[in-house]
Amino acid sequence: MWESVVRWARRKSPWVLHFNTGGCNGCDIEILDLLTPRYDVERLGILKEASPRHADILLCTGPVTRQSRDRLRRIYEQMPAPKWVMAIGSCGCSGGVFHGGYNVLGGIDQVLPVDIYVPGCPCRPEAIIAGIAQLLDMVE
Amino acid sequence: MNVDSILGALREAFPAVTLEFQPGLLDETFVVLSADCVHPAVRLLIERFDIRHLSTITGQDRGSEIELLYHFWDGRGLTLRTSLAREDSHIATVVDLIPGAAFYEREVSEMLGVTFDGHPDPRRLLLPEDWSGEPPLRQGDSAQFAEQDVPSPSIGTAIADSGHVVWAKDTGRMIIPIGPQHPLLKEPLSYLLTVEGELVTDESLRIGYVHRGIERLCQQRSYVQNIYLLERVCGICSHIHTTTYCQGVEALLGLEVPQRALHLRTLLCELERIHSHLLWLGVFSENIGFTTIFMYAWRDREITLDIMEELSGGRVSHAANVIGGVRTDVDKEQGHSILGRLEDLERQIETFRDVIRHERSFQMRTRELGHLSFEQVRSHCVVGPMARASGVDVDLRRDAPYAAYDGLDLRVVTAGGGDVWTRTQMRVQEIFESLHLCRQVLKELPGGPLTVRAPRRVPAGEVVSRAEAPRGELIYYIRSDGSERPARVKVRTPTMTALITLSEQLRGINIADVPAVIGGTDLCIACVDR
Repeated sequence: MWESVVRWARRKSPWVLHFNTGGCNGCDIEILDLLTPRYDVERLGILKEASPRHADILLCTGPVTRQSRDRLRRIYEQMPAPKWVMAIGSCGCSGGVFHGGYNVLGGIDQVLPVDIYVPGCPCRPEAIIAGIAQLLDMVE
Repeated sequence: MNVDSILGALREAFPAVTLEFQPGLLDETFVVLSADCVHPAVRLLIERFDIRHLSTITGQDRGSEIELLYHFWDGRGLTLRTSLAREDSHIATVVDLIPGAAFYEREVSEMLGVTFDGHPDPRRLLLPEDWSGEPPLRQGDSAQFAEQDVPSPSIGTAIADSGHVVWAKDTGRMIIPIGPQHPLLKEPLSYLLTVEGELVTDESLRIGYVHRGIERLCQQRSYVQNIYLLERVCGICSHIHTTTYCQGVEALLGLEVPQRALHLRTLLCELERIHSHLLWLGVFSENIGFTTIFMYAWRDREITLDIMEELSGGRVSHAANVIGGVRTDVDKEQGHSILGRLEDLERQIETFRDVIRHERSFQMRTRELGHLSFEQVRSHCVVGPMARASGVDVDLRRDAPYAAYDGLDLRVVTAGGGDVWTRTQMRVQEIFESLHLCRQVLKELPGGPLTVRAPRRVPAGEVVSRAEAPRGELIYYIRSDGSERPARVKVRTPTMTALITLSEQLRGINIADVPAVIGGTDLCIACVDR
């Protein structure tokens, strides 16, 4: 009984944290766009959180740069379990157009275990919503 | 700027040295002088001719020596060129004459291993603290990420990374870290604010979290591939980056771009400016706690995104420019529909203008805050809306018309207040001007082809290309050595200049006003870090 309540709560109110690990802003503004009237993901229970300690899902954009790597790890460690990571945009998936740069490590999966990849440069807000929905199905 | 009289004065000042003058593409003049003449020459430009706007310093590796280019601007471009020995390269700093050169010199220093003697703050700017490889823009050196390096962060970084507030009991000072992940910031940068009571007394800035090394990547890719790479310098002002780059490469190729293509470029530039200003209005309003305007501004921003998507296929990255023209077109019916939607948008923006002008709480949060004087703006080489809000009448769309701006009616908005409130009003006013330009382009769109055929090979040469991005002057330096890849692409984005002024804006203000000041500066960190 208790288990099913927790599962229901988890599915109905995923709180997301956004961190730009080296992206160009393109995907970041699309993530921010999710909150605004056209997409308005709050109606689906998705809330953008400011603190890692309150977040369930980490949305990472951009390739991981050398300087943001440690910070990315720390943010992930600060999140309470269970937690999931989504790589947003082609750079987050593989390093994208910046692959091979001297300050670029590659995609998010070089540092953290990634649950969902949302490709696109930049990915559309609809794709991010679809990614979150898929993640929630996975959670269940 | 009278180039002849400047050249005459330089000749007179340095009779013993042979000076070389080279007229360049896009109305740029290059003056070659020896390294020890640079500091006196800069002093002469400032004192005799009042040329104080240093757009950027480009450094490049020319094999046997390191070359530095000081790009000045005063109605037209003037570049001082000097060469340094490859080993142990030294040059006197110009920060004492132009405080705004501080970041430019720090960047050249870490990217090419040049020491600027007398620089007040020779820390790293973009590279991580634990970078131990060769300077990344030196040729032939393998700039690689060395995994075995042990990070040895400075104390500042250690505090910032710990994310904890540090309180020194004896002095009563507190160090508050902001960033790199913080609700105030949409992009990572790190601030350490020293606070006494409620007042900010000192600050320390660290950027480079999104440094991707684009300038070096450009040297490894072809001219056409670089269009798509440079579009991703910044997701907000992507089109202006490709416009400036293509304009430079077209000048190197000697191409005449069709008028229709230039008009379409201008249309996208202006739509992008509207989108960028609305985005900023939203983010800024959210920063000061005015979420209603955030929601409304971003709702109406979608109108411009829809139009841009219709024109190019992309909401944020448009890939509209190709070398020699554009690859997107607009037909009569589409033009008509766009005009209608722009009218709707204009009505919405009139509402915003009235709200932010008359809303008392908005005024209380922004008036007399983050003040920059005319003098401060000029000495820090600030560009764009930040400069215009302090009374500096500069706009490259009018001063050095590119694309189709020459034939359009453009009113440059300036204001004298220099505080966050003035900047807010001014940027909203600029949206109306951009709407006015969009309408003109759509109504007067000339016929003809969209592209001209561009030759595969770019002849050897160099070019300085400038354009007015939503945040101000954007400058590209492109050098070709005749091969299929550019030998050097240097990008200086407008936010770099605004970032330098932040320390002056932040000192002495109340801690609660920090979000308003940072927001009002309209930073784009992805642009700065590249």
